Amino acid sequence: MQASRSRLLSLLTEACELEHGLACSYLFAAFSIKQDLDEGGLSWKQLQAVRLWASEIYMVAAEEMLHLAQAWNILAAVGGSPYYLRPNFPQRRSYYGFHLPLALERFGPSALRRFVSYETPADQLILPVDARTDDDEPTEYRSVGELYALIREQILNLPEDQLFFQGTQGEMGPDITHFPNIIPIKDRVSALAAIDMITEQGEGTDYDRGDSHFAVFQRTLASLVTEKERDPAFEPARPVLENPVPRIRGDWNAHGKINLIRDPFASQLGDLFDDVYSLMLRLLQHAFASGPASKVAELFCDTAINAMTTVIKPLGEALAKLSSGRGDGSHAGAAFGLTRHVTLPAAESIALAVAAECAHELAETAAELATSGHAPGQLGVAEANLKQIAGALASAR
Amino acid sequence: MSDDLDRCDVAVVGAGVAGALIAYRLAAANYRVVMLEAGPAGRNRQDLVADYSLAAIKTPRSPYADNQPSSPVWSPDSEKDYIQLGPSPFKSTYLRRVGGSTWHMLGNMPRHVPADFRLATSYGVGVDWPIDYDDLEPWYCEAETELGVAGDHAELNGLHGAYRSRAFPMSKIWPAYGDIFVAKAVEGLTFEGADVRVLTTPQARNSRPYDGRPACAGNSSCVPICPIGAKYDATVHVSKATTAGAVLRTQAVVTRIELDSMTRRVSALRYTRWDEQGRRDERRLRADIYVIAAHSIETPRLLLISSDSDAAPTGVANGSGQVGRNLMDHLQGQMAAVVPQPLFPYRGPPTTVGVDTFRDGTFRASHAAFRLSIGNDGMGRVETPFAALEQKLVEGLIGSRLRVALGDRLIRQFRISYSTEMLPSAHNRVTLADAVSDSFGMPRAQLSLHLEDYNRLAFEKAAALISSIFDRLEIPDSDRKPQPKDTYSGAGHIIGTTRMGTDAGSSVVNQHCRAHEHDNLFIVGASTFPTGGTANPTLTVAALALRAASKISSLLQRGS
Amino acid sequence: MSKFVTGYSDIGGELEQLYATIMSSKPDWASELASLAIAVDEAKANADPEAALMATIKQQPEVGHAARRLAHVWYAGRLSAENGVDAAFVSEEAYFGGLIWRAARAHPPGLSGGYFGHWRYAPDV
Ligand SMILES: Cc1cc2nc3c(=O)[nH]c(=O)nc-3n(C[C@H](O)[C@H](O)[C@H](O)COP(=O)(O)OP(=O)(O)OC[C@H]3O[C@@H](n4cnc5c(N)ncnc54)[C@H](O)[C@@H]3O)c2cc1C
Ligand code: SF4
Repeated sequence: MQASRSRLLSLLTEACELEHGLACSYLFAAFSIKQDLDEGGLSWKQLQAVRLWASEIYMVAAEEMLHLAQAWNILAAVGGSPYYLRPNFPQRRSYYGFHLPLALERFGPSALRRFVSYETPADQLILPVDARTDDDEPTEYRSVGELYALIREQILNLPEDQLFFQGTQGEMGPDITHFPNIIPIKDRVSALAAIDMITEQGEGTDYDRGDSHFAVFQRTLASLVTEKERDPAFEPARPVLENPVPRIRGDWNAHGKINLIRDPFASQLGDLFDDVYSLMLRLLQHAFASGPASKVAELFCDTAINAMTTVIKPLGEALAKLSSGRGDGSHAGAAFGLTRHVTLPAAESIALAVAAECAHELAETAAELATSGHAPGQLGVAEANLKQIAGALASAR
Repeated sequence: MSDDLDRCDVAVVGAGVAGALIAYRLAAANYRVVMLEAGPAGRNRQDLVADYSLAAIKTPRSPYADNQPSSPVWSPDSEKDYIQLGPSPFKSTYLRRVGGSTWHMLGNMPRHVPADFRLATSYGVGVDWPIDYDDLEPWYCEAETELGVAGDHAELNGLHGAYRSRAFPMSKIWPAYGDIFVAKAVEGLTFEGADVRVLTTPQARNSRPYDGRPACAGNSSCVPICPIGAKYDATVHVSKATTAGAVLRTQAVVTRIELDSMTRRVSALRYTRWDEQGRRDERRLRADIYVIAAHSIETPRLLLISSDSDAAPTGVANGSGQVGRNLMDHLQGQMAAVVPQPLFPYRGPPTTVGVDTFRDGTFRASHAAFRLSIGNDGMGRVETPFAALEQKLVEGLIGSRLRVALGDRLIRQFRISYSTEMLPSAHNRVTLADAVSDSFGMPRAQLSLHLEDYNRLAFEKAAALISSIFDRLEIPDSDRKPQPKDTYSGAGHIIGTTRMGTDAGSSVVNQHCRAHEHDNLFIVGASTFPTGGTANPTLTVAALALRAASKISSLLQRGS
Repeated sequence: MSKFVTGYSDIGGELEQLYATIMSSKPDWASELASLAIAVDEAKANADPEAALMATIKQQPEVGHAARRLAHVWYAGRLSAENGVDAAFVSEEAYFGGLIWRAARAHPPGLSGGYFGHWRYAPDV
C-alpha cells in the first residue's frame, strides 16, 4: 500500500474507533456480571470466580482505553487530532476492515467467543490473506494486529523528519494521564514502540501469548464453560438486553437490532449515562488535543478518569440491575450512545467553563434521579461522585 | 515405591522460592533435579480461601489446614510457637508446604541499596558482604522478571545509588486513594534535614496479566493468601521446575545430611516420607550437588542436627561456629490513627507506597536504617474493623446510626508502620533444644534474641517522623495510637544463621552460597545474608539463588 | 427486625435463614429476641423509631443485649465474642456477606472489590 500522511491519519482514526468500540463492548459485558450473592444463582466460590472474570474484563477494557489514548498520541504527533466518534452499537460487519460486527452483549459464552475473535493473533487466523489494493475502503485487514501492522508500515515508509511535528503535541505521558504504560510520541522510535505495546497487550508475541487479551478471554471462556457444565443452574450474568438504547437516535436501527428501554426511570438513567460518557470523552479529547503543556490537561484527565471509574461504572452497573420495562424479565443496560463529535473549544478557559457547566447540569439530573424510590444503591454513589467532579471543575474556573 | 536409594545431579531441600528457582533453572538446563519438600502440596486455592474465611482470627497460618498444630509439619504462627530463650521474643514465622513462606508473604520486592552491602566500611557497624550491589544488579533484573515485579522504574532508578539496568517487567501497582492524599499532604516535609518523599513500592503482584496469572484485583488478603494468584508465590517455579523435568517429592522431611568422612563432601541426604495415616518411610538420596533451601530456622537446624563426630563435629558447615548465629528480622512497629478525612482503606493491596528516605544515611553508625510503609488496611492490628464494630455496638448504636457511624470510622482508619534493620550479633541465634524433638525425632530449634539500642533509637526516630506526617494530616492527638515503647512485631523476615563471607573462619558459605567446608554443598536463602539490609529479603534471596544456580551449572558442566 | 436493627433494608435471603436457624438453636436467644421484637414494634410508633429503640436499649439490658447480638451477626458474619474469644465465622457466605464491609464501602478481604487499580479512586459502591 502506498504511504501517505492522509492514509496514515485515516488508518489511525479507524484504529481509534475500533479500540473505542472494543472498550465499550467489554465494559458492557463487565457491567452485566453479578457482583453479590444476593443476586442469586451463585455460590460463594462462583462469586469468587465471577468477580475475577469481571476484574479481568475491566482490565482489558482499561487497556483498550489506553490503546485509544495511545492512538490519539500518535495521531496528534503526525498532524491529526484526537478523535472519539464511532458508529453506535450494533456496528455493521462491513464497517471495519476485519469484517466483525461490534455489539453490546451481556457476559456469557457468546460474548466471550466474539471477544476472542476480535483479539485473535494474525498467525492464528484461518481466513486467507486477501490481496490488498490501494482502493479498498475500508482498508482490508483480518485482525486488530494487522491494522496496526498497516500503520507501522506507513510510519516506516514516510520520512521521519517530515512526519512528526515536534512540540508538545502527542506527548501525553503517564504522569498526567493515569495510564502508566502510555508512551509520549516524539519520533519514529517512540511511535513504533507504542504500536508494539498495543499489539503485545492485545494478541501477545510469537513467544508469549499467555498474557494477551486473546489469552485472557480464552481462559475466561474455558472456565465459564467448565463451571456451566459442572452446575447447569449457574448464571453469572444479569439478564441485560442486547444493544439496549434509552432513545432512538438518528443513526440507530440501521445496522442491526436495538432494544428500546421502556421503563421511564431506567431510560432517564440511560440518558444520564450517555451524557456523562460524552462529557468524559470531550474532556479527554481536549487534553490530548492540547498536549501536556495545556493548563487544564491534568485537570481534564483526572476528571475524565474519575468520571469513568466512579460515575460511569456504577451507573453502568445500576442500569444492568434495573428492569428494562419490556415485561420479559430483561434488564436495561448502558447504550454508550454518541451523536456528534462535539469537541470542547481549544481555548482553555472557555473549555473549562463549558465543561463545568455541563458537569453541573448532569450532577443536578443525577441528584433528581437519586431521590426516586426505585433508584439502586449505585446511583447514590454515582451521584455523590459526580457532584465532586462538578465541584472540582467549578472551583478550577 | 522402589526408589529407596536414588541418584540425581542436584538434590534440593525445600520447595520455597529459593529452592524452586534453583530447581527450575537447573532442570531447564537438563540436569536431573530432585526437590525434597517437608510439607504437602497445596490443596485447591479456593479451599484454602474457604478456611481463611471461616477462621476466627485471620492469622498468616489460618488458610493452611495442613500446617496447623496437628500436622507433622505444623508451622509456627506466632512467637508462642517457638521455644524462646529470650531475653526478647523472636516473632517472625514461616510455612512448611510446597511454595513455602511465599504463600503468606505480603509481596513487597525492593532491592537492597548499595550501602546495605558494606555497612562496616561505610558506617563502622555490622559486617560487609563479600559481594556488592554491582555484582547482584544483573541478578536483581532476572529475579524481577522471574517473580514478576511491578514497579516504577523512573522513580526508583538510582534510589540511594541503586541503579537499575532494566525496567520492571510491569508498570507500578497503583497507589491507593489514601496514599495519594498522604503523599500530597507531606509534600515539602523534611525530617532531620532530609526530604520526606512518598515512593511507590515494587511488588511481586501483577499490574497486568503476567506469566499466565491475572492482574491484582484488590482482594486485599495477600497476607495470608492471594485468592487469584495475582501475587507471586513459589508454586509458580515449583511447577515450572517439574514441567522442565525436575522431580518433586512432597511430605519428604530431610532429617540428616550425611558426609563422606574422607572427603568431607556430602554423600547423601536422609529423609522421611510421611502420610496422613501416620506411615513413615525412610529414604536416602544421592546427588552430585546438594542445595539446602529450608529457610533461616530449618536450615541451621538441619546443619546442626547433622553433626558428625568425624567430619563435622559441631555440625555440617559449622567449622566457623557461625551456623545458627546472627539471627535477624526487621523489627517493626506502627502508629495508627483516625484521620479527619476519609481515606477509604480496605480496598487494594495492604500497602503500595512508603518512605524510603531513611534507608541510608550517616545515622546508620548510631541507629538502624528504617523504611515506612503507608498502610491501606485501616489501623492494622491496632483496631480491626471487628473491634470498631464492637465499640459502636457498646455505644448503643443501631440501625442507620450504626451503619453511618461505623462507616465513618472505618473509612478514616489509617496506619503507618516502620521497619528497622537489625545488626548481626553472635548471641542472637538458633540452637537445638536437645531435649525436645519433633515427630521425626529431630531436636526442635530454640531461639535467642536481644533487642538493642540500635533498634530502640530507630523506633523513636521513626515514630517521630510518623508523628510529623500525622501533624500534616491534622490528626488530633486523641486520635493517634502509638506503638508502646520498646515493643515490636516481626516482619516475617528471617535472616542470618548461615552467613556468607570470604573468610572460612568467620562465615559459613562463600559469595556463591557454597559451603566453605563441603564443596558439593550449597546453602541458599536469607540465612546467607551477612546483614539484614533495608529491603524485604525475598528479591535478594531470588537474585542470590539464580546466581548460585548459574554457578552450580558451570560446576556440573566441568564435571566437578 | 434485622433490617431495622442493622440499618440495611435490602438484607434477607439465604443468610437470613441461616441466622434464624442458628438463633433458634440457642435457647438463651429466644426470650431476648422476643423482648427485642416487642421493643422494635413499640419504637416504630415513634417519630424517630431508631432513637426510641436506642432509648429502650439503655433502659432494658435484655433488649440491648439482643440488639447487639443481632446486629453483630449481620455485620460480622459470626456470633459475638464470648469471654473475649472470637467465634469462627458462621459460613463462607456469612464472612463474605458481612455488612461491615459494606459500611466501609469496601469488600471483605479475600474477595475482589472490582478491577485492577480501583483502590486509586473513591469507592464506586
Ligand atoms: C507474614 C509474612 C510476610 C512477608 N512479607 C514479605 C514481603 O513483603 N517481602 C519479602 O520479600 N518477603 C516477605 N516475607 C518473607 C518471605 O516469605 C521469605 O523471605 C521467603 O518465603 C523465603 O523463601 P525461602 O525459599 O528461603 O524459604 P521458604 O519459603 O520458607 O521455603 C523453605 C521450604 O523448605 C522446606 N523445608 C524446611 N525444612 C525442610 C526439611 N528438613 N526437609 C525438607 N524440606 C524442608 C519448608 O517446608 C519450606 O517449604 C514475609 C514473610 C511472612 C511470614
Ligand atoms: S490485593 Fe488481592 S489480588 Fe492483589 S495480590 Fe493481594 S490478595 Fe492478590
